[in-house]
Amino acid sequence: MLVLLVRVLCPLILLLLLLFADPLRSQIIGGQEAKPHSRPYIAALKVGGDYGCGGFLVAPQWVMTAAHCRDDITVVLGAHNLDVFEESQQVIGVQSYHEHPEYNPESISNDILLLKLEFKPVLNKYVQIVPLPKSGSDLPAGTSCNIAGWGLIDEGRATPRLFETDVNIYSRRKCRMVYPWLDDGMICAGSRKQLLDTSQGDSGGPMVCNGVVHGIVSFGYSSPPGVYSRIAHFLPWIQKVMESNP
Amino acid sequence: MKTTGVFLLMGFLALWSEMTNALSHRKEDPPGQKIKEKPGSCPVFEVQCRMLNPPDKCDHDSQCDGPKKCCKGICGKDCYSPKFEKPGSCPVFEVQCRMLNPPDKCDHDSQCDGPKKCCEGICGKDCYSPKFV
Repeated sequence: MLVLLVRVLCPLILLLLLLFADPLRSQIIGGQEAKPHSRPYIAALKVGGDYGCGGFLVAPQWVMTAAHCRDDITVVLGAHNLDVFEESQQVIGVQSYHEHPEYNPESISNDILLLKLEFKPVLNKYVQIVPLPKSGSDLPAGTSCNIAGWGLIDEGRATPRLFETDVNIYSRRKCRMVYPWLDDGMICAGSRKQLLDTSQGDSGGPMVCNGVVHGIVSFGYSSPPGVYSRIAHFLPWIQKVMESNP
Repeated sequence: MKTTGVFLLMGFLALWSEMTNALSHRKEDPPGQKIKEKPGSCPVFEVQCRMLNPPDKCDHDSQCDGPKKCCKGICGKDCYSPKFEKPGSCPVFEVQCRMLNPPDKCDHDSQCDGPKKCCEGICGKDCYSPKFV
């Protein structure tokens, strides 16, 4: 009975805490619920048992996410609503973790992690691979990109359903004024004039521009622009990791 | 019937106190590891990673090697080198160079030689001799 009480009360208290969390703690602000399964490459990651990060399928047996999400990860593909049983979902464990060797937790630079899955997911209309950039070149400022995730939404509320919004790439020069330590492995998106951004719980998720995944949700202040790992910068490392772990 | 009820209630109460004891004990620090704060202050990070409830790598200073302190970092608590403020106050400069975002030559006092402090100068932060009033 007591155990039951504790089991029921703890999530309730947690939920209340989440509900009354500081509303300024950024959200997928200004976003809307995604059309179910319209982003079939996205993965929900259970980090140490609870949903805490996003990721995306980049090869038949590889999911990409942020290095700061590294813990004991379980990958859920083909999901839309994490609170209900969905037949489209495929839950897969991680066979091996490949963190960028120069990931620096103090500056969150080189924030990229590759997960080799225990087995290949079945590709169908719910689970698909998203293409990686072909070259290392930088995206021009103003390019429109889509960000999606299960992170906190307006007023710090958690959502079991996938949310998304569109943001524009923010000029690197201007972004250095906001984040002076911005390096070539990072890219900024979002505008200081529009409250559209990723939030706590979106880390590791994809930023997709013109059908190609260019960014990994990384960090930011409580208002836009936010910082994303720039995938194009890491192409040689990505290729090396995948080739040496067939 | 009544007595069974009373016994049941007593049993439940005993179980309750036992459980709450067990739960509260778990939260206490292991003996001999009293929370002792190390000298210096924590660096302050305004940016945050976008993970939900990032895991803490430490809980208090004693879990950190050497002089490092357990501080709230960019992505959960972690061990960081402490910041120390040297005695004296910074000189005040009224004039400012007209450069946009002049680069800082230092970030905190420990990066300055001898008694010098890291202060806001004419053109970004730099090391200056302290003033004593």
